[in-house]
Formats: sequence, C-alpha cells, structure tokens
Amino acid sequence: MPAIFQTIYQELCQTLFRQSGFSAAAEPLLRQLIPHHRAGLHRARILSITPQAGCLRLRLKVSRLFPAFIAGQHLQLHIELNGRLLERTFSICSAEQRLSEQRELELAVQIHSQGRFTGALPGQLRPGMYVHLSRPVGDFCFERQQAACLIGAGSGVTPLFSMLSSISRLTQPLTFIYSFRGTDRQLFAAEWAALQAKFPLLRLVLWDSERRGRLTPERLLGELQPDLRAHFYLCGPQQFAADFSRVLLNAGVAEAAIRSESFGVAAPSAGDTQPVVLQLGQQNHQLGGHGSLLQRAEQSGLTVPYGCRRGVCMQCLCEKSSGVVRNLLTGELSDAGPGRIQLCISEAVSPVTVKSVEISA
Amino acid sequence: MEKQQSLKPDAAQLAALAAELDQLLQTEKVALGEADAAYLQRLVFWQRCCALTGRLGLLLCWFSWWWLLPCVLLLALAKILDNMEIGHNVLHGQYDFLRHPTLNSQRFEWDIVCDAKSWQRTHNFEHHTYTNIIGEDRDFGYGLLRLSDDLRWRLQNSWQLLTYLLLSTLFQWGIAYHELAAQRVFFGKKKPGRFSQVSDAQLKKAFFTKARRQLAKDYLVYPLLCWPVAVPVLLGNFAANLLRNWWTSTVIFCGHFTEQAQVFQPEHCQNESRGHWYYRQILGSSNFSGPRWLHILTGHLSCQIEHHLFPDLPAWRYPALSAKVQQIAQKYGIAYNTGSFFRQYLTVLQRIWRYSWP
Repeated sequence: MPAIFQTIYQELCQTLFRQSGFSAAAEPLLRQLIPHHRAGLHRARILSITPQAGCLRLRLKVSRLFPAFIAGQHLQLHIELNGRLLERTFSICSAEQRLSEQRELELAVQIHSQGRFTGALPGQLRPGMYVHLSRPVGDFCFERQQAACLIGAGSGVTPLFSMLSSISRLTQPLTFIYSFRGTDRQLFAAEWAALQAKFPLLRLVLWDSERRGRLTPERLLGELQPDLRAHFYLCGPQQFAADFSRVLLNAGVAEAAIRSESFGVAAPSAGDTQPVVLQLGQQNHQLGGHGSLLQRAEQSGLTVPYGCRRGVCMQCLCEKSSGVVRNLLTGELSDAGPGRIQLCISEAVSPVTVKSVEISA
Repeated sequence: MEKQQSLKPDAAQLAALAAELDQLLQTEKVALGEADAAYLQRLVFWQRCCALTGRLGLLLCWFSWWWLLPCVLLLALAKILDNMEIGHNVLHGQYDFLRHPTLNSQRFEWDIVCDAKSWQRTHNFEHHTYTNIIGEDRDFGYGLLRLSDDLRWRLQNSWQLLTYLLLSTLFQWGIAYHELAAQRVFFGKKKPGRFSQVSDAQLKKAFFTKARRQLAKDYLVYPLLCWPVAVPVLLGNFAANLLRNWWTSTVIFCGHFTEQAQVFQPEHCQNESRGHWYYRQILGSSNFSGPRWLHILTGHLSCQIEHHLFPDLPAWRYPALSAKVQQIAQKYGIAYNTGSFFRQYLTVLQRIWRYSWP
C-alpha cells in the first residue's frame, strides 16, 4: 500500500509543482524563514575550525532533525563556494553521544592544497557559516560485544576514533593501532591520553612510521601480535586495506571478522593518456588532461554532474558507446562495447566515447 | 522601409571579431559566482510568491468576482517569470555551474505544455546553431508563416496575419507541437539523413505525459482543491495561460522576425567559422530597449543578440554587455538591430503582412 501512496504523492507533486517532492517546491519560500535552507539536506553551523595534522577539524552544530548515526558512518559535506555547491564524503570523527546530547558533530577534513574542494576551504570557511550535510550512511559499524582490533592509517583513523570515543564502557579487550607519518601528522594528539586513562582494557598503539618505519601487515603480526580471534576494522588508503585484509585472511582470521573501509581512488596508472570524446547534450568535447574521466572533463573546463567522486552516488553515471575503461576501485577492465560507467572511477585504457545520460522526468 | 545594409567582413575580420567576442565571454565567465546564485534564488522566491498569492487570491472570488482580475494578473506574472526568466535561462544551462540540485538544465521542468527535454533538443541545438538559416532553422516562421522571399508563396500565406494571431493565442501548444517535431513523430515525415537518439515512442510519451499533467493541474486538480470556487479558479487559470501565451509569443517574435532581422542561405553557412557564426547571430537577431522590469519579464530575450552570442551566460548580465557588443559590432560594420519594444513589434506585424503577398 505505501508504494501506491508514494506513487500518488509523486505524481501529484509532478503535476502541481513539477518537482519530485513538496520540499523542493517549498525551498525558495522556506529559505526566507530559515537562512541557507536547502531541500533534502541538513543545515549545520560551523562552531569552530581547528587546523590539526594537515586537516581542518570542523565542529558543527546541527538541528534536532538530524538523524542519529552509528560510529563509523560517513556523510557528504556540501559547501557553497562562490555560489557553487560542492560536495565531498567524510567520516564522522566525533562520538555518538555528542550528537544526542549537544547536537554536535565533528569532521576532520584533510586538506590537499591542490584540491578544488579542500584546497579552497582554509581561506573560505569561517565560524558561524552554514554548511550542509547529507544523512549519515555506511555499514562500517562497530560491534560492541566482541573483542576487536581497530587499525587506521593516516586520516583513515577518523571513523575508528568515532567508534572508540562512542564506547561508554569497555567490556572486551580492544586493540587500537593508528599509523601516521611524523608527530606533526598525528590527529587527535591531545585526546589519546584521556581515552587510554578511561579504558583500562584498551591497548593503544600510536605507530609513528617516520620513526618506526612503515607499518606492514607482516610487522603487525610479528611485532604487535594482535589477537587473531578478534574482529578487525581496517580503514585507510585502498592499498592499505587490501594488503591487510589479504594477510589477515592468510593468517586464519575469518572473512566475516574483517571489515574495511578505504578512501581515495587508486592512482591512475601512468602511461599514455587515451583520447576521450565526451558528448554532453548535442556537443562533443575532446577531453584533455589526465586522471579519471571526471578529472579530465573538469581539466577540460566542462561542468559535469558529480557527487561523491568515489563511485557511490551514481551522479556522474554516463553511457559509454565504445572503448575500454579501467575501474579505478577494482582495477577491472570493461569490455569494449556499450555500457554504463561512472566517470569518477573510470580511466580510459583505449580511445573512449561516452555521453551523458539524460535523467528521465 | 529600406533595408539596412552591412558590408560582409572578410575571413580575417571575422577571426578578429570572434577573438573579441570570445574575450568578452571569458571576462564574464570569470566573474560568475555568488551574484548569479543570489539573483536566481531571489527570482525564484518572487515567482513562488506571485504563484502562491495568485492561487490563494482566486479563493476570494467566493466573495466577489472582481478578485479574478488581480489574481489572474499575478498568476500570469508567475507563469511568465517561470517560463521566461527562470525556465528558458535555466534550461539553457546558464546556471548549471551553481550545481543546484533542481535549478539546472537536466532537472528543471517549466509551467508550460512543452516538455523541457524536447525543447532543449530542438531549440538549444537546431535554433541556436542554425539561427535564421532558410530550411535549417525550423523556428523561422515555425513552418506556418512566410517571412522572407526565399520561401515560395502559397495561398495559405495570404491569411497568415490571422494564422499568427491564432498561433499567438495557442502559443504553448504550438511550441509543444513544434519542439516535438510532431510532423516527424506523428506523421512519419522524416528528412533523409536525420538521426535522432530518442525514439518516437519516447518523444510521444514525454509529450502526452507533460500535456496530461499541465491540463490536470490547471483544469482539474486546482479547481477541485478550491471546490466551491471551482469555476472562477478554472477560468482564472485559463486566462493566466492565455496572457502568458500572448506575451511570450510577442517577445519571441520580436527576437528574430523584425524588419531588419536577416536570413541566410544554407550554402553560405557550410563549414562556417566561429566568426561567421557570431556574425550571423548578430544579424539574425534583434533587441529592444526598455526598463529593467521589461527585460526581466522577457527573460532578457529583449537582449536577443547577446543571448544568441552567449546562450549559456546568465541572462541578467546581458544588458550590461549590450553596450560592449554594440561597440564591437559597429567596429566591424555589422548592423546592430535595436529599438523600442513598440517599434520593433510594429515591424514584426509589417513583415508578416508584407510577406503575405507574393
């Protein structure tokens, strides 16, 4: 039954407002009452901005309507920069309780000075400004009743930190390993001591790879000797998560006991850049530049719809009419014929022709 | 009226013209940003206000039918703003750089029978690429009117002034039918070599879905929602649509069918340079002057020349560009066609009358 009501509601909204829902139709009027309101997104006010370890730690105040999250989940941060609404995905790094008690969230945004999004942030963000958040999503969540080993590399520590600080009473042994490069790149530096004092069952390893050398899966098993019956939570760059899962599986950890989340897209392989033709509407564009097809489109000065830039949201989905692309997440090669690909995670391996998919009414 | 002649510039001059106009476009593109976002949001807000007060106001017809008049005007204003300054410009992709989730050329749908996607396919591509080329730009006379000696005179042209008035009255349906390229879709009249990515069945479905929704909105759902005053609401909606039709057709006819707007032969436009394209856009379009509110009501199609030169630049920037474009046109001896709204419209009527006869 609800499906029928849903259909009727949508048809009615299309008929009366030519919008998919009432909230989008009411947005212009609501904006007069609620400054910076945006339909379908949650408004958040920046309470403070703290630079730390190459990141900006954003403390955000959200309204009562913002849904509860489970530690480890991520969301999309939308920021209006010079009129343009840009978005990227970040893990929440604060505790669940801080949301329910103080309506506060914290994100650690890693700054890439060359990045179109994060590179512009340090100069643009001010406390008191409004940004927008999507609903928190993701299934990289912590199970409390199990012994656990959390391993984070670089800014991959953010969801793990949220998991750790959301624990109110630790009843099972927990190993937390955080690998970072140099003390000036260490996130949450001031908070580790308090957490260690709070949880006697916590074994905290702060691994400075500048001093101790790179943390490899072999060194993990050899030097740190984690409990192999525990549940493993891995978060870091793609290669990191892939290497650690493989070695842990070989060491006899059950597949179900390993959860991992990785960020970033594997660097596109070096080599000749292949010619790509992107058809937008009725116009054909030759893409210059290098990198993923999305990056190349942007480097060529085109405005292409995109969202997460990591192969999740399908906003940059395009119809490939010919050519072979490599999936930057899995490394898989596509076939040479027609098919749908996401520009943000595709790299041309042969000459490619793609065209944008028109969104049906 | 004597025809204003302009000397045809040679290839080098055309290249220089293109360079200057490209330069102008580039300076504007760099300036895009917050001001455009604020303008669009403000405009959409006022459009919603007009629509809401107009629709609610119609309920007052319960007390007196005199309320019909102001409310119809408000509703017509809302529809005109939606179609012209918001719809037309958003669908041209002028505001796509803002990345607004609904106010963009892919998602926006306007309050008119013609569905946005069909309009984009034909208008944005055919009309803006082949502006005023005989036989290529179907928007030239809409296949109904003879506006140049390049078209053969037929008997039906002798009453084309009446045809024009009828088209103007039914304008939204004319546009919907025309943009769908209905002769091709419904009667299979296809030009050889034409290739369409969208099947006829999809086009028909889009046409009927949009028409059904628009008819249901104005003549069924809103009257029923206001049940005791259903009749005034229905009449009010009808009148608002009619006013919008007259206004939009008047504005659009002033853009390309004035006395001075020139036509081109397809053989002169094969493999044309960017400079020649610019040159043709200036000669094939005509502006009219007026206060700012008039520009907004026309969706800045009062700056048709600037619109045709830079179709994806936010339209509210056109009036400021106009002086610079006029200067450039003068420098290359290209006629820049502008005048008051009434003078331009008068020449449109004269042209329709003049070409009614062989």
